[in-house]
Amino acid sequence: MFDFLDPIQALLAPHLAWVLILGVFGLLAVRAPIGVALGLPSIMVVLIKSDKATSLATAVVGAMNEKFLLTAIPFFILSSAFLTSGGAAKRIVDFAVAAVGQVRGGMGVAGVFSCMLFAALSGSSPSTVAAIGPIAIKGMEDSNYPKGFATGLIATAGTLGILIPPSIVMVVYAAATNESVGRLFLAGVVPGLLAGAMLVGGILIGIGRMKIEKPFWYGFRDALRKGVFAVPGLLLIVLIIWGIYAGFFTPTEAAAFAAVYGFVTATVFYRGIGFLKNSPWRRDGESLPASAGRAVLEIAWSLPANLVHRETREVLLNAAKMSVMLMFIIFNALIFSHVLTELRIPQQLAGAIVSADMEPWMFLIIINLILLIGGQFMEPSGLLLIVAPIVYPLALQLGIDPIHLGIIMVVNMEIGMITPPVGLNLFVASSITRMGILKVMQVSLPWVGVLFLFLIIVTYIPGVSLWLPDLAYGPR
Amino acid sequence: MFRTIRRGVEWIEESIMAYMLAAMTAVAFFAVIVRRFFGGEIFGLKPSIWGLELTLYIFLFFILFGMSYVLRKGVHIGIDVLVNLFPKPIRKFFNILATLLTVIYALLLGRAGYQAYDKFWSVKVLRSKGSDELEIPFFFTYGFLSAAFFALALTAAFAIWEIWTGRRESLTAGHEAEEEVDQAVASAHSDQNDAKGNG
Repeated sequence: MFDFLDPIQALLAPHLAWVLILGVFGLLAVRAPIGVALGLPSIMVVLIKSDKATSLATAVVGAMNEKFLLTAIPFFILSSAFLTSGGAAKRIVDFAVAAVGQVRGGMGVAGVFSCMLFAALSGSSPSTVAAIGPIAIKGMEDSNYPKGFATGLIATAGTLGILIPPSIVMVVYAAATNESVGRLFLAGVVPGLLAGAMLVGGILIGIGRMKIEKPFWYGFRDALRKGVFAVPGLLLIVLIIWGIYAGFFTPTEAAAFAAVYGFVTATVFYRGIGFLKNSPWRRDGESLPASAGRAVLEIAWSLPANLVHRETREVLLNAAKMSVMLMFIIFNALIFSHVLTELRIPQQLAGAIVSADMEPWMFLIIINLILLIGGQFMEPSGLLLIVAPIVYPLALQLGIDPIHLGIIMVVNMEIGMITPPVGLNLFVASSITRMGILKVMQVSLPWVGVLFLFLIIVTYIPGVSLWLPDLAYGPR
Repeated sequence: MFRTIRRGVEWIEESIMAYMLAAMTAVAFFAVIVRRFFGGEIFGLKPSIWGLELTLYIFLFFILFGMSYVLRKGVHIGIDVLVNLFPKPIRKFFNILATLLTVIYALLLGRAGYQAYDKFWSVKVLRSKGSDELEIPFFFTYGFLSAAFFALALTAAFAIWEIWTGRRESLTAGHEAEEEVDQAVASAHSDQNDAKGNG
């Protein structure tokens, strides 16, 4: 069919590795969709090697079959779409302010706390900054924090999203390397808390002798009432981690459960979307039995009806768009890493590293650099799928624990989102605060420093990540 | 008139995507409930046998079906940093080039899918071959895959025209949170306006 291409084929055949690598970078540079940038050069390589287009199609379907775990991804996306719909950000900030607002540096600590909560639910760093940022930064300004201080803090705290479980990026890493999702989720817990604590430490040092006001305290009852609204979110995190650990459900089933749970919570409990939107749990002057009876009736009719409510459809559609976009990248990245292995590029690199007598810590620094730079340009899941197949076998040879490696990679990509010149969170922070991008870089610099310190701790003290999973599952 | 039809078609397309995702969730959720609480069987249904496969196939068709829509709506992420260094006409050239390469990509995979479909359809023995439990025939899966990628090629080709005439800047969004940031900025501003109105 394409006979006239034969000379080109003959010309390129000995340089397939270069066709692949340069092709990917070239396509990325001209603003092609990331999926296409990974897929097209890979397909070209397959076609140049042998014109077996049929095997290409079988490989596409086969890749999906093999990595069944990936079906968990749209479920987690759907779950977070429900749990972050209908004013969830405001509820979370309100709760955080009520819970920790009265300590020293209260509003800042509450900002970090709400970023961590929202991040755990949404799993996305930029959307955490976009949702929590406007509310938390304004709150901090009202408490006399300098605007730059607040912006830098929130932009940085928002990156915790992919570290605190349930995390889509960890699911992708597990799928790529056949590691245990349960172990990875547990391994993210302690580092997530540590990062939060270090940011709080940063606040306490940063405010020094500044005159900071505490947010208004509405009393204990009010705090309790707001606390009730934070329960479903926190409970879900616990249920998922515990359920996977106890073997109650597989990671995919846990994700499907999370999606249904998110739907019920958003429509019936929060009532942020759906038919019950303007129907409070208890009307003014209504007796307790009356409101309980009303609640039972309301839940009974609205739960099925809400499935077809306009706002539910909207949430489903948004989650569907995100899922397709992400899966398009992921399955092209799968083809790419398949071709990469076929060309024996990871093996050659492994050989080079072994013959160079590289120490594990030097190897980790190289991974740090690659991911910090790559994390600025690329969507974390896609980047992970490209880097993991290359790095994973090397790490095993050097005696680095694969779970520890996964956490290191996640933390690196987090920092990539906040490092100049093109970290994603910087742009988001800049557009919600209307501060110039250079100014945002400048004010986040101290916080990036904190995260770097955190990265060093996580990279060189494996116990931080491995302690909890080893405790739960036993050491390997 | 033309516009109404287009909106209608798009509404149907969106609904199919939304409820395929819902169906996939429902199947997986149903399977775990039946397995944990009903001992693996309810009303003669045994989702533990076919649940995984059904989830997977809905998922596969869902992605293939949604691909074109997502491309048309510009949800895909591209890296705009390098392209933005150049003046407008060159930027436009790069954007058209990227879109053209996307067309080629989709055509190649569409062709691959068609050849696989052809193999499973034209050989009589293979025609009845399908997935393990539900026996979804392979020729259907590959036929769908092929059609989906040819549709993607058409969508991208249309985007070339849109970029050429200046109706659209690029095939991709600059970064993944673009839409959400717009919303957040808009709501932050309406809050301020509310505050002004109340004060």
